[in-house]
Amino acid sequence: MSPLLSARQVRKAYGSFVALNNIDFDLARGERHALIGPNGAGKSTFIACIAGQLPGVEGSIRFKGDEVARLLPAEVAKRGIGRTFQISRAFLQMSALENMTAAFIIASGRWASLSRALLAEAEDRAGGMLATVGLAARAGSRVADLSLGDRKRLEFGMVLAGDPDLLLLDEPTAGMSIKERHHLMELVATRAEEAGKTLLFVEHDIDVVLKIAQRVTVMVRGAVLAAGTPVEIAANAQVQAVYLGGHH
Amino acid sequence: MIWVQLVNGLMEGMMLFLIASGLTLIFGVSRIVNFAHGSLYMLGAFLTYAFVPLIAPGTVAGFFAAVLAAGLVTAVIGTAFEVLALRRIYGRDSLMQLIITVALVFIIRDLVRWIWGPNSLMVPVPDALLGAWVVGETWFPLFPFVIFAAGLVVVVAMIGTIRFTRAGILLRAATDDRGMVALLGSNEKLIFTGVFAAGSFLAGIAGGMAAPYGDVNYLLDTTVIVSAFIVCVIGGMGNLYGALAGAMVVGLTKAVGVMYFPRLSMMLIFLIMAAVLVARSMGRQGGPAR
Amino acid sequence: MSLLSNQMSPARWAVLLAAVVGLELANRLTGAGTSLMLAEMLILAIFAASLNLLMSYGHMVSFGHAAFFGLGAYGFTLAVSRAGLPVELALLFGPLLAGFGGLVFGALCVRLTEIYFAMLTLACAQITYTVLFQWYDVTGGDTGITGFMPARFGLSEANFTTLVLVVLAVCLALMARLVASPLGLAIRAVGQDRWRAEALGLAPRRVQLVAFVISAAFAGVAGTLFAAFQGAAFPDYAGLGFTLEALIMVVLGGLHSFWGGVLGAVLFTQLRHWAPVLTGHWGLLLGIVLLIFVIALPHGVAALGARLGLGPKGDRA
Repeated sequence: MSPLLSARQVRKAYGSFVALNNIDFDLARGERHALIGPNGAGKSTFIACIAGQLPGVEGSIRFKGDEVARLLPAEVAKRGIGRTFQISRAFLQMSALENMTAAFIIASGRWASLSRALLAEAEDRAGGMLATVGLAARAGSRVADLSLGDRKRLEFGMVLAGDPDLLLLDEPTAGMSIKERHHLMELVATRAEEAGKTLLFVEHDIDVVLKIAQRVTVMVRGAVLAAGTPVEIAANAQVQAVYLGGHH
Repeated sequence: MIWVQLVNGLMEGMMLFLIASGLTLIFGVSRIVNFAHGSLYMLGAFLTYAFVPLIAPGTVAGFFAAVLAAGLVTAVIGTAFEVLALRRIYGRDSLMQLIITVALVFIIRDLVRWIWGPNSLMVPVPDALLGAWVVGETWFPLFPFVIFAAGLVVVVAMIGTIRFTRAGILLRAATDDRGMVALLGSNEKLIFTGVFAAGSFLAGIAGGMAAPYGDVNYLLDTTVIVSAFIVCVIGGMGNLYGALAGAMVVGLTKAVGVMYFPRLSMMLIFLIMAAVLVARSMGRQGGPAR
Repeated sequence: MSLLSNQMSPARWAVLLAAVVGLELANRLTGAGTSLMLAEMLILAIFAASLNLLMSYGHMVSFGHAAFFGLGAYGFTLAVSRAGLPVELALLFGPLLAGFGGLVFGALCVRLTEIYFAMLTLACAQITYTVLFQWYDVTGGDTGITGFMPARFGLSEANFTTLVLVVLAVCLALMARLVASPLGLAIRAVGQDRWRAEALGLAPRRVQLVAFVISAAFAGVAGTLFAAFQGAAFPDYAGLGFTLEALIMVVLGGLHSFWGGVLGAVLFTQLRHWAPVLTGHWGLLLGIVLLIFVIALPHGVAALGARLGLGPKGDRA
């Protein structure tokens, strides 16, 4: 089966600084794939490239066979790629329920509507999704008042609302306690499994990576250093030298 | 005729740069759009009107001394505003920062009308500068040349300060990256106040130097601030050298435009500004990297 | 809690009803002078509410909103004076021209954000002003257009004011309906985080353009009424002065609140009306009031209302 996402020779430079240097990368349908590497390796940049957020990306990114490398973010999203941000983004002055309702309305494609029925229906589904991500009790809280972990859950739920085929999660567990981390990533893995979603996530916690990911790609200084199953990666001497070395 | 207008355009461009440089430096450092900057210019013009008869009237030295004094008083008033009002709202909604400077516009305009009345006033050109140079058949009034030269001196001094002194290094650091200031071990508040004081001084002396060249009245504030905004936008907000280019474009367009299509010269300037902004919007901006 | 049940509480309906009744009583019982003052206040309330829609919900700060007030006034005035349309039909051309202006200027402006957005709105408004000021053959230049209709359609001061009150109520009802709709939610979403909205599949500029056009059309309604009120249109209607007044009203009334624009218009016009009793220095007074509001009361009078239990929690934008 052809890969869901296939990147070839992807390059992104900021002036003379090359953030991504000719990346080749494939993602199989239904796979849970972790992107690891030291800070500044280009992981977030690569995620942003796939999501269409960076201008001046060279090379090819094919999603479900179509070229998406030079599309705008909204167009990429409509084709079925949803993302969360490293510093989670949501509509800060709205309640969690309003955020989720907005996500469902955007997903419906009928944002220009004035229909109360549409709003009621979206709100209904939003309530369900909040329950799914464990935020039912916080539905009325403004995002600005939510904890970091709750914001991550909300953002994940909002992305799920769009029913994307591919979920890009940039450090979904950054800043969380170990317990919270495993809790959230189990939720993510379960939801992805149930709905047949493909998952590409950036993660620094190796335990989480080993537990959740089926494949791992290691990036260093804008290039792919190694790729393989978690077991292969854990055993790779080169990877241990540059990345795992100091930590384990 | 065209040459005379070009000289006038250069002079006006130089004055515009003196105002806009303060506006753009303040924006670069503190992200505040100072609507009252035109009011400070106007204040400089009125204060010069007040000081000229007091300091060796009619002499060139007396005139520039009056301008300098007006600039200093304007700087004191600007600094007082920064310390007493603006400082309380750094970091707040940018709209609130804008509105607080609009408040100063109303206050200064009212006070100026109260003190000097609603009619236009004239500041006399110093006797020694009343003459003209005659080149062929064209008479070039002396005064615009002198003002242009004086403006040039100020600009050179300003750029020298920014490039070569410690204060200038701090200013550039603060413009590029506000976190840097803390690293350099300096007080951010002091930099904001310093920039505001310097900007007020420049606006004040610009108002003073240009005062003999046109009417001095209480409506100067809005016309000047709008021109200064245009200059800053054309040059890129926060970009000093961009503002220099923008000021010359606006000054020359105004002066030459007045000859060929007097009714539309202001329109032309807005069209240039709109074109610059639209061109700016054509490049695709990147999203947040993280 | 729910968006749809976010209807106004009985207490707020009571306050609203009392306000309307109070206004109408003042209009009927205190003479023509008061009626004229109220008419101007209510027209400016529509104008300020239209800007508030853009700023509080779309988070777009315009330095050129008066362009659409002016275009509304001239759209109506020119339809009567140049095209010879009957007044009733011509009324439509005010909001139409303003909305069209909003479409053209908005298409350019929404390509930019924050200060550059504001600066381009300023440029667009000043261009509009210059055209109105300089195109003597059509707009009459700085002498404006006068004498094309009896002021206030020939209605009495009190009757005209009642008419304006009704139009204001209709405009606010439409705005409330918009805010509590999928479109309203999309506008708020883009205003609060365009990157999140974009990553969810919403094209931010398109949403902003829709908000811009709607806001411009409402400003056009205000401009149309103002021209009818004066029986005249002048280039100043599109000038920086009116833009600043509207911005001030929104800040006084309270940014991020549905009622901010209306409350600000009431406060501003009353202040201006009664200031001469206190002092001849209107500018000084306004400047000081603004300083106090910005420093001490940044959420405007709407926040005071909230503290009194009239809870705008639901209409926080």
